[in-house]
Amino acid sequence: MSVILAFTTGIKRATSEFRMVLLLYVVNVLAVLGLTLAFRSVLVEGFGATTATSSLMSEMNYMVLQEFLREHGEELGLVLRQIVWFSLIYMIVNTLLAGGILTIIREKDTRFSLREFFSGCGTYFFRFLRLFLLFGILLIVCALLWIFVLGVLFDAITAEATSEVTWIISFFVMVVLFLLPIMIVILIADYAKISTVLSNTHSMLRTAWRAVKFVFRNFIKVISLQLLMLLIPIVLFVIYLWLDLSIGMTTVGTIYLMLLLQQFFILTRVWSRVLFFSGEMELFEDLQIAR
Amino acid sequence: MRTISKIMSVAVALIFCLSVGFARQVIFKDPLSPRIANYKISVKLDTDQKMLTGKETLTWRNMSNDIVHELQFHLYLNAFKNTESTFMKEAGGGLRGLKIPEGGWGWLDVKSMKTAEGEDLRPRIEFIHPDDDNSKDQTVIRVPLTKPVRPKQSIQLNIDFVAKLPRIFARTGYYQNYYMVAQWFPKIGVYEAAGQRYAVKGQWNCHQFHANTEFYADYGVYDVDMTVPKDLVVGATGILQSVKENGDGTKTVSHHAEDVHDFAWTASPTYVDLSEQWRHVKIRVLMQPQRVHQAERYFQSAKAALEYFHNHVGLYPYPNLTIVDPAYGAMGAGGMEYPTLITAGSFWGIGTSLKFAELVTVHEFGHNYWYGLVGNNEFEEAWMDEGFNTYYETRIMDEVYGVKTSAIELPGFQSGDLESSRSSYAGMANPKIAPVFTHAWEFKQGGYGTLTYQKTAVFLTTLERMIGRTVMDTLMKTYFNRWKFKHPCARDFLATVNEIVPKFHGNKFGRDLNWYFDQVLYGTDVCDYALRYIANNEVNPIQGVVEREGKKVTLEEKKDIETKKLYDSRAVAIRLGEIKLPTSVLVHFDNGQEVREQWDGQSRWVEFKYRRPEKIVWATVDPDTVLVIDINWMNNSKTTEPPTPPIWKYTLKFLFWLQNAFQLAAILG
Repeated sequence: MSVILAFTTGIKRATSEFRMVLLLYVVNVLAVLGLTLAFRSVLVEGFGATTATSSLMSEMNYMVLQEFLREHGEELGLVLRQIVWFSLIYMIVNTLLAGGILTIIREKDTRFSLREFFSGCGTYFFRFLRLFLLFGILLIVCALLWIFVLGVLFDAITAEATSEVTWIISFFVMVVLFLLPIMIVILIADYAKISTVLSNTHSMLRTAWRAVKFVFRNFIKVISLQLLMLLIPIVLFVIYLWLDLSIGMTTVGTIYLMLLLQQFFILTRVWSRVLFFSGEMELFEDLQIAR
Repeated sequence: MRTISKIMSVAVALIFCLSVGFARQVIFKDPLSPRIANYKISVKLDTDQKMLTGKETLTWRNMSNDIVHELQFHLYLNAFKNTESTFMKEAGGGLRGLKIPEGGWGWLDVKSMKTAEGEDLRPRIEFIHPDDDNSKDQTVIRVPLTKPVRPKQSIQLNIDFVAKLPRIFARTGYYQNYYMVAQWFPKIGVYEAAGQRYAVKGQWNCHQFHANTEFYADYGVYDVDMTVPKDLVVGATGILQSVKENGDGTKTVSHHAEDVHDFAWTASPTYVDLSEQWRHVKIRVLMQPQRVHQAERYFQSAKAALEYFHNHVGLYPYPNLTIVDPAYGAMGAGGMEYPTLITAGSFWGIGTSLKFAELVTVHEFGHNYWYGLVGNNEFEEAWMDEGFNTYYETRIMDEVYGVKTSAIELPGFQSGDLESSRSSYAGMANPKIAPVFTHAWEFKQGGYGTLTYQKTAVFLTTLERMIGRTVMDTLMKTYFNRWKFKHPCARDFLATVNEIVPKFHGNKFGRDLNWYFDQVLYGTDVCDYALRYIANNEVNPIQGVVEREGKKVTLEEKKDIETKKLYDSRAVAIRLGEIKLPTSVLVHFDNGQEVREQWDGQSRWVEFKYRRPEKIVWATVDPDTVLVIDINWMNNSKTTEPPTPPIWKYTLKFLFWLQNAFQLAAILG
């Protein structure tokens, strides 16, 4: 019951904080704008004044794509390489914003205010940054160790395989097995942040340990809530893909329509982030009270 | 007396019936080829040791006017004997992306070689290395004869051999209990008489096995008895004659093939044996059990290829075609051709969105025409097999599966076979690395694959678009039917081109097309035509004194000046590459009218000028994409109204996916 309650409360809470969701969406757009404009300028330079690109409206033209990549691959590569750095910065920015999100969610009956939001950002930033580094290192170590273990297991299973079915099924199982601990580490990090905000602790190691205990003590409920909440962005993504395939971007009109749909989908993704924090906080509070 | 006579009659009848019953089935009433190299082979497969023990009777006919004093043989499997072979040195221990597995060596030993008279030739055998200075390479032997073979005479040799099959990584060998047995017996080379191909005097054409080379041999009749464990399903070149259980857990499978120049076979206990019929051809597919649901892809593409070649090139004379689906772990045996037997390749879970199974079937079947029936020398002129075949592969794939979708057909990403081939060539880091006309083993700096396969296909497609499909088909049909079973060379193909094209086009392309092949086959230059710029300048009305009806009139006032606007417009096309080909330039004006200009493509640039009320909106060089060999199509056109919607389309797609990626990263923050 607490899982369902946490889920529904999370949805209500995330939806009621629409102004915060909008703010986060704007941050997302601003973060990618520079790279997008750089990408566009590579396209303008590459496509130039040729008529070859007019075919790109109605279909994916392999020849044009190949020649574009051949002639302008270097400039494109330059832009794409920046994605790594920008996404790293975006992660840090989200570490900052997480404080604000959790502060607003914690104050259930108050209206969203920018002042309170940024106050929360500032209050918890350095603590969350320590958590980010701690869990980042934990994630990397876990991932490397786990890749090694899974690799050995995979080689053992497929070494004398007589059919590629063994290889394919083993591969997918390994991918799921690999993602599972990654997901758990991320979950623990979320609950560590929630715990920090709710109890205003300053010892991040102790907070992290408390989060580990919480997740494993309530493993089924935590994972159930997570999977339930995950369903929403997955379903929305499937709907988006179907709309993209059905509508396409073959005319000026459909380009505008798809732009609206794309940005609406991004808005729902941002909203999902708030949903996750809301649902997790509700469950955390509920189970801590029950204890 | 009567009784004896009766008994005699019955005996004669019995002998007659038995001889008919035991006689090998005759496939062709009259030989299709000269049948120079004829083999009777009995071989036993030892599945524990992965070895073959064989007895071979070779009857070789000297069709030349020379007295032949020695014989030369290929022992191809010795390429896998150790790291000292020419093959292993050139391949760096691998082929087609696969490395030789540990302990996976193979070899071929001649244990005995005797003439029909019993003379032992084995002591006279010596290894030779005609292509390089690698004395450790053992893929070619010469056998000096005490009694030479006189013109039009034959020699019969009885050869005992033993072979160790390598673990499959380069076409032949074994993987667990799967066997693909190719190039497995001592195989006589080709004796070329003076005037045949490039031979100035009679000589053996018997090259070492290199990393890049394939095979070359004379046609003949093969009768092969393969003794294998009885649980193995066997497929082989030619047609099945009989299967005999030997009572010791083995069976002997006998095959007979006529007018072929090679014999390959395969065996596996897990094959699922399926058959369908196309006209006179029985198509047999040997599938891996986990991929049985993909068999229909092989059948459908094989039938499409058979039909296409039948209609556009010539008759496939053999009554059978076997398609082998390689085992998992033995994919190195896939994508290969042998007479009437090809190895393809499919993968569980890969559907028709990726048409690899179809493409490789069409390609490998096509080889039965060029490598198989025409019999090019794959060592020296690989382009005449691989390139011709890739040309037909792209034609068939695009016509059957769609120009834009014949290779890949995924949501949001499609590509056609010709597109892919052209991209491979056009995208080469150095397309000038070597001429196509290069011996396969002499592509020292690389480029063998792309130049031999894709560039050849591209220049043949360009030729087709220049001369027209009907002329191209006539030329290829003539070439095929004239040269099948005769080992033609480039000179023979070009002679056919120069004979057929003028019949349709007169002198349109000059006296002959040697100028074309000099550039694309023998040269290394690239073709790149571009539309450099278009310009529209308003014509300033005349001011000043002009003669009108014999009187001088001064035009200075606006009312005196002609009000109809005119434009001086120019379109300039340039030749960036060194290949010179005739082309055209299409100029489009803002009133919808178009002008097509012809350009011989010789000069470095050409300018087309117009004075009209309309402005040029866009111009394109080679608007019909005849010049498939042009390495850059993006620069072929210019427009004064660049289309911005495509730019926005892809910019917004990029924006969207970047936003998603960043939002994923945000979870970690």
